[in-house]
Amino acid sequence: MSENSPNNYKPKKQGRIFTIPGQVVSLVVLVTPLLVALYMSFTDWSPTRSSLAEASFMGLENYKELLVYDNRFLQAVGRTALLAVICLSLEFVLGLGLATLFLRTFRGQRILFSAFLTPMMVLPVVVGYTFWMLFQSNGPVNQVLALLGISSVEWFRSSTLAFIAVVITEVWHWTPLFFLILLSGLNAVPENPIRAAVILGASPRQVFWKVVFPALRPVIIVAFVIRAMEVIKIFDEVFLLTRGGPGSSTETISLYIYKLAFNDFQLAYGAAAAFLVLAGSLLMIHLLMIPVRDQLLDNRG
Amino acid sequence: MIELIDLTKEYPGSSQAAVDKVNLFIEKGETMALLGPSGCGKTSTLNMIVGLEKPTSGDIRVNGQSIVNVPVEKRGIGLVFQDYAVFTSMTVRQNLAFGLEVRKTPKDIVKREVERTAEFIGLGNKLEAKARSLSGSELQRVAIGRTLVTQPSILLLDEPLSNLEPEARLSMRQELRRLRQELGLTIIYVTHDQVEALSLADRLAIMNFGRLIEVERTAVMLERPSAIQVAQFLGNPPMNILQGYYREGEADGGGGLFFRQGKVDFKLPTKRPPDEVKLGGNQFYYLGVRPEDLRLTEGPDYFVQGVVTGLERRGFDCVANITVDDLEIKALFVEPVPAWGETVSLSAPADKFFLYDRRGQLLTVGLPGN
Amino acid sequence: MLNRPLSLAQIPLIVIGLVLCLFPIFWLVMTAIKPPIDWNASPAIWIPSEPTLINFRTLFNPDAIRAYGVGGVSQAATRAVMGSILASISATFLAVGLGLISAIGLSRYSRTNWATPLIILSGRMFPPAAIAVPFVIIFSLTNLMDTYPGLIAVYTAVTLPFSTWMLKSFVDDLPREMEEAAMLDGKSRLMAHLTVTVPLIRGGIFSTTMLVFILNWSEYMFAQVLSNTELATIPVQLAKYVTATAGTLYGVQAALAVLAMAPLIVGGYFIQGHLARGLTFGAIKK
Repeated sequence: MSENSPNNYKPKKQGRIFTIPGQVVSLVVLVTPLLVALYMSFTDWSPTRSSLAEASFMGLENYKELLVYDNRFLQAVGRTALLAVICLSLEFVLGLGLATLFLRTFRGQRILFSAFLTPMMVLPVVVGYTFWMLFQSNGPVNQVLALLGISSVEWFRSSTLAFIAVVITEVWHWTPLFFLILLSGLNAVPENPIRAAVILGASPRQVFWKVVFPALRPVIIVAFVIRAMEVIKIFDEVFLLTRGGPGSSTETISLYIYKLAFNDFQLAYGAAAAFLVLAGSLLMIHLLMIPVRDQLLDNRG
Repeated sequence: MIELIDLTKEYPGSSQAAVDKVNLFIEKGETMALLGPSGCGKTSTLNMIVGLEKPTSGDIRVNGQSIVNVPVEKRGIGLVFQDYAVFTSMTVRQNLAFGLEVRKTPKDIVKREVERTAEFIGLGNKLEAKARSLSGSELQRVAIGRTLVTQPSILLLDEPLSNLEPEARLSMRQELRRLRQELGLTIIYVTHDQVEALSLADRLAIMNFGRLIEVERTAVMLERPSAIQVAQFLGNPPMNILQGYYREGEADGGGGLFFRQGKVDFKLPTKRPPDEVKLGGNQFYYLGVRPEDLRLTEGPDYFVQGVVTGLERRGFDCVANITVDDLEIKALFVEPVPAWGETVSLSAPADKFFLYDRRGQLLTVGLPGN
Repeated sequence: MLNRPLSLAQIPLIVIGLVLCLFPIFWLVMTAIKPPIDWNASPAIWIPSEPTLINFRTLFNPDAIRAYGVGGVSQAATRAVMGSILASISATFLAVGLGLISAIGLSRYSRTNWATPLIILSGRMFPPAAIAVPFVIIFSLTNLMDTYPGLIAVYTAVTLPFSTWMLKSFVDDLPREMEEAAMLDGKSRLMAHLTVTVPLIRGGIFSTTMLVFILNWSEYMFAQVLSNTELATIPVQLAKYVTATAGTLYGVQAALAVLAMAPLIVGGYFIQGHLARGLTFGAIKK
């Protein structure tokens, strides 16, 4: 992309020294472990049997096993994708609705803005624990449902309900992010094209879909990419809320890999799963971001 | 045809009205330029006419009918923004079609009208181009075309040329003249650039601090600016305005009429005081003379003598600052141009002086002959 | 045009949204000040009959709760709180310090291409469980398991790309000319950056520090898998309470959760202006 890079003069060699410390740290503490993991994913190593050096090299066996035979993995992938689609749609709609309300002016707007961002600040572990309390059979959620005539729902004993509980938790936690991103996007939409559309006779709905939405599209994509990344990694909330249960009905990719590695000690197999997930998400994100990559790179805005 | 009656706009939290009791009548087919410094209320006036803002009080009438309560899209008034406000994510065709499509016009009519308009604005071959790839003047054409498609009876232009390159400005001015002639539109044109206003408008309305200072035909306004605010606004550089009083010279000093500001006597090219003024130190007046009417002179009958303390060459001509005592006046020279630091004498013909009273209202133009 | 006042019909929407948004936090705080008898009452008690700070005291003195006839709190949270503070703050300073140098280097002395953000993003995309696996192996070999230096190294490595990229977006906003002027005055490259660049982006540095701190402070999985007996952080302790004595120590857990959450909510409030930029890796400026 260097054509539209802000670096319009030649980088000076002696300045490169600034990037070295960061690169060294990344190399030692991030790249090395990743390379170890990558090598591991081609072996049959398990710490309960032997050391890594003695493990036998098996080529792509682990990957083949995962993609062809491991239904639990494929289900976890599908479940994570489903979770992502449902959560992101809900978060987008709610966040956009809230952001549109905040385009209006009203008293106490600044304080309410901060209040609506609060959930995002809470630690995932705390969110998981709090919603675990809320969804207890004698918890406040069921109390409210009882008022509506629905009695004693056992949230964590049914696959569907447990999944719904995870969705509600995620949506509560991360709708503020969509709200924040979409509101800054909406505030950056230039006003005159909107005025022009109104004068030309467009209804508020037409103004939104024909003028505001196209201007907002890059921001929406960025929001989706960032949240998609987080959902792929989702662990803490689900771990505290359902531990992936009942059965494996709320087990996401991260939970499955965690269980493989730290409960079953199938480290090599878990690493292979992780690299598959990484490759998949990189591809997806790359495709999604093509339309906005210039914006992301051109940091002068 | 379009009439503003005591039109007033006040914004909450501001003590001064943005638009203060403006009365203006614009004929059908006329081009009216609203001229004034930024923040003078021009844009608020436009916004109220088009319907983006509601007047605090007063009325706007089109063909005798009040339109204050008519919704924006039913007013039949088009507005072209300073920054064009073209829909950048759309093609030229989609931009032009916008006003028709949102009104659910049949597809074949949209296609016909869009293509006709595209030809008219000279973008017939760029219909499928993305708006973001267009140049400034092309965007301007799209913005105008997009409005024309909806066949407004009145077209409002908000600083239409100020975002354009100088060459594009010239050709766009010609374009706007052609548009006016071919379509017979009523145009209200907001600008802070007097060249634009003078070259396009039939009449000028000069605004400042929310008030209308003067409305007059362009030619008349140049010949007889009725108030010093108007005089100071037109011309580049604007008219020199002196403030002081008239006195007759001493008999031994050659006699004649002088205008005195501070410690400086300006010798006027007449012997006889004009009928409109009284002589003496307690009679305060303004006197105007345009920089381009001042010329170098050799003889003893100069208007003023001073030192050249500044020269700004502007291509064909040169603006000079002439300092006399603590006063500075501007003169415009073509050739010859005096040197910096040189002492020069300047004079102006008697009919080129503008006489204003103490309130800044025009008394007369020209001094009486000898 | 857009800035119209809120219409009457929209007020209830805001109110409902606000209630839904704050209710879980309200519940958590209420639980933290409930006496043991209210903890798991059926039906649930919304506002405690006798608000108390006993749960917070119990965190640092496990025997305090015995006054209410409840036992079984195995471990004080003091060590976890200190551990969280130590690990988060050290790792944050390391990540921001190194990130600042790298950000200046990236912004001023190298060309970024499409691969750079993708590599940086991929660090944030990789399932943490998978990064944890090689760390566990390497740390076992180097005796870094269950130690703070080990945890700090992991946190630094994981947040470094993030802090680099966010700081770079602030450096990018500065015109080069300012530093170049300082260099022409005879200052060395390093001094020019220290005296010109750094002070000008201190707002950005503060926001980045806060965000990196939030990431470190919230982290659970690495701390969980790297810890055994010596290492403890608040999230690990919190999860331990939940797993070990689920259903019995609601109030004490809630008190710890409130303690963990409070600094983030306060800190988050101060960096609201830069939050969108930080969380979108600089894609959104305001």
